[in-house]
This record gives sequence, C-alpha cells and structure tokens, in this order.
Amino acid sequence: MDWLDRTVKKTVKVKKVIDGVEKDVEETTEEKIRGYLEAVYHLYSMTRKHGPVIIRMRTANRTEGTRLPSLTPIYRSAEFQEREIFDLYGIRFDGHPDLRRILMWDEFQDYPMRKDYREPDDYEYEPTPHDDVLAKAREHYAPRPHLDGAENITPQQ
Amino acid sequence: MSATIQTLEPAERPPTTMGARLEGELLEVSMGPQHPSTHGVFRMNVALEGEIVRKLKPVFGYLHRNHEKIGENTSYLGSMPYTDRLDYFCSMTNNWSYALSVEKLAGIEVPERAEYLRIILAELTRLQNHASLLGFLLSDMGAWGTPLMYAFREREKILDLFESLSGSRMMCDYMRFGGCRVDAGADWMERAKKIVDAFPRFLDEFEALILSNEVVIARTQEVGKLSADLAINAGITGPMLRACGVNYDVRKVDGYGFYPRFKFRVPLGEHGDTYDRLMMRALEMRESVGILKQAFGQVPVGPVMNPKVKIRAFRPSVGEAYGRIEAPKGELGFYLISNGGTNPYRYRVRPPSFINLTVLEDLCLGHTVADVMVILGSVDIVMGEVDR
Repeated sequence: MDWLDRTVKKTVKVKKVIDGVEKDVEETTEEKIRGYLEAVYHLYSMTRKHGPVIIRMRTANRTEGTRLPSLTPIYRSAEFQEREIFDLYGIRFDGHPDLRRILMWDEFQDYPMRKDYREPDDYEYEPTPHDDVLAKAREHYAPRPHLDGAENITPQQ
Repeated sequence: MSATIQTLEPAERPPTTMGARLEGELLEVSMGPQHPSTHGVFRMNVALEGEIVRKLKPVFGYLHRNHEKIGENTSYLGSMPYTDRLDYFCSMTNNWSYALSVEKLAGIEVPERAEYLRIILAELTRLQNHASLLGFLLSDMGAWGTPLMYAFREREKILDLFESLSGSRMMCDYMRFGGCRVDAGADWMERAKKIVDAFPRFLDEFEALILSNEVVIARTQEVGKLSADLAINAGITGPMLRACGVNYDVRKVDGYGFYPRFKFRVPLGEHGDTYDRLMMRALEMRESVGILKQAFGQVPVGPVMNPKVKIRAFRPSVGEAYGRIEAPKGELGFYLISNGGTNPYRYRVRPPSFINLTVLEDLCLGHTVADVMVILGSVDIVMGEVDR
C-alpha cells in the first residue's frame, strides 16, 4: 500500500492554571507523519492448514528509501508478486533474483499504483483557450525531476 | 513419443546446412503473443537447444488495464461487475470471492438460500471451466475441434442457465455483498437439475474417448512434472497443486459458505505431471456433480438478499479483510483495506493463474517446444486474470 504524508490532530485535555484558577483546557497538537510504502504478506501453512501469519514491512519513506528485503529466496510464490509491487509501487526488493517490470512495459517511468500518480493527459493534447484545460496542461508540464523529462517541454505559445 | 531428454554427443550431431555444428548453441525464440495455443496474448521467451527448451521467461502485461487502481477509484458495488472481467470464464466465482471479502470487511450475514445458490453457481462454473479447459488442452495437442466442441456443447447448456438467471452468459454480475441479485425460480432449478443429471454421461463419454487415448497418454504422462515441495514453495493452488498430491482445498480448509455441510472428496494426484493435472479436472467435475445433486435437494425457501445491507452508498468501517475461495483455477482472494470511505483504499486481487505461472519455467525445462504448449494448457491460465 501507499500511505501518504498525513497530519494527525490530537486533542488533549490539559489542566492549566490560568489567572490562579485551575481549568481544563483543550490543546490541539499537530503531528506530521511521513508517508511510507507498505508490503503485506499473508502466509498460510499448507501442511498444518492454518494461517494467515501476516508480515508487514514498511519502507522508510516514499522517495529514496523504498527498499525492502525480498522473500523470494525463501518463498518462490513471492517472485511474481514482488515484481508486480516493484512495477506498480516502486519498492525495490533486495535479494530478488529477477527484479524487472512485469505488467507495464520496460520503458515505462513512474509507478501507477501510487496515490499521487498523475496519469498522462497529453495523449491527444491540443491547446485550447479554455482556462481549465490550460491549467491542467500547466500542471502536467510542471517540473518532475528524474521522472519523465517533462520539465524540458514547454507548451507552445 | 517419450518425454525423455535426448542428449546427443557432440560428435553424433549432424552438421547443419550452414556447415556449423550445434554444439551448445542456443536459439532464442519468441513464442507468442499472437499464437492460438497461448490462450490469449501471452509471450514466452524461449532459449532452445535443438528442440529442447533450456530457458523460458514468460512475458505478459498485454492485457493490463490496472484493475486494482480502477477498483480503488470506484465504489464497492462498482467493482462487482468489473470482477467478471478478471477470469472471464468463471465470473460467478470471481463475484463470490469479492462478495466474501466485503462481507468479511463489514461483517455482513448472508441468507441461507443465497449461500446455497452461490454454491450451485460456483460448482456449475467449475463444471464449465474444467470441461472447456480439457477441450482447449486437447485442441493444443492437435485433436482439432471435435473434443473442444464436445466440451463446449456442455458448457453452452450451463451458460444458458447463467443467462436465464443473471441476464448474461459470461459477465454475470450476479452476487452482491449480503446475498445474490435475483432469486432463481422453481423452473430454473428443474432445468439445472436436468443438466446436472445428464452431465455424468458426458464425463463417461469424454473419459472413454480421451483420457485413455494412447496419444494423449504419450503426450502428457511424465511431461511437465512438478514436485510437491516446489508446488508448496511456489504458492501453487487449485487442481495444479492437488495433482502433486498435496491435500489442500480451500473449500475444506476454510469451510466458507455452506461447504462443511456437503460431503465431497478432494481428488489427489500422484506424479504431478500433465496427465495428473488433466485427470484432476475430470475427477473434480464428478465431485462437483455430487455437490450439486446434494445442493438441489437442500435449497431452502427464503430471501436471497440480506435486507439490512445498503449496497448503494456502502461505507464499511475502517479495517482490512482478506477473503479467499477455491476458484476453478486455484485460490482466488481479494484483499481490501477500508479507510471509512465509499471506495476501498487498497483493492488487491490474488490471481491464481498469475501465481501458478511462477513455475512454468521449471515445468518446461528439458522438454520439447511441442510439450510447452501442452504444459501451458494444463496450467490453465486466463489472461484477463494474469494481466489484470
């Protein structure tokens, strides 16, 4: 899964002395939680017929530290599924023997299952004078370093 | 034809027309994606030494439409008709698996009559899937047309039943979380009963014609052997796992629906070769006929839909659930995470035919190109489910 950055608001009742009188005051604290990618494994035992044992593995963040240890050397069944996660979410599995894209084509950039994935809107791009179309195009051509080279393209005047 | 690997000594190898010897030279062949025996748009990159497969890498994704992303952007009910398109041969079992996961997620009870209808439809789906698989497999082996038409004759009768019940032959969209969409009338039950009663005759005929056929035996026995250890390790499920002798059937293990109320046996293979996989389908069809006959005698009268469930604007509370069933191709599961909204935060399909393809290379190594077709046919894949 892809868990985005989020802010958690906590409201705590604190006793404070205001003007010499003790009062219950609600204090709101904001906590920022960094987003991360999570891989969940459900393990069922075929001989003992019980399960699932659930393993949850989380990456450090969503940009650089998207690395997790691979389970493929132990369980072959993870081979294609980890490739699929790499393909669609961009988690790199250390120790995977054959980590390539599996469903998308090899030249594809970006990871489509991430929540902030922007689908390309320039398949049939044609500039029209409408404000919303231009706004969408501007958003699409905003710089996205190391992604698709779109920052080099400028809309024609 | 035997499946033993013919290894010629380098000196015995005949020189090619180019005058070169074929010593350890590998020829890379791209099989597919447009090939009738690949059951859809599926490609295999094969390295051949003579006619023997030395390396095989499956390539797919030609039918990829990111089903899971679409599921995350649609309401819970909106995904139901879309699950039909996963494994388009068995839309009823896809529906059931998805409905089961949502019911687990939201804690929904299902009326008794709906549970029986689900079992009847799932077993009918198993009958038509296995029958057409055997037909396709024989077609791959060169028995053009006739066995496939025999199988499709039976499949057609079952699809007619689906059509009169749900309005569609293949894209049934029949089940809902909390029951089924419409009730089956008494006349429908009578028709279904007649078709199921006549089914063993087709099985007898088919088995006599095909499964003891000398050519079929020569092409399938000792071809594509899978060991039980590898099958368990690679997460193989369904008839392919049971052909290796591993007794694992989700109907028995989980006992979902009303399956614990039924008496049926789980057929097991011994060798794990293609012939066992073929036989597994034939034997499972007989067990399915037994389950259906029991079910027809037990269906109670009552509602088919839980009236408390609001399927529109459906908002389950925060949580996650993994529901799985024994689909004809293996364990089909849906993993749903809800954050309290109208659509799932995460919608994951565990497709059996996708994971069963993991061992395709291990099965094919050392066999000829012609055997690859037969082995692939016996894995039973549907590209709608593999590529999603």
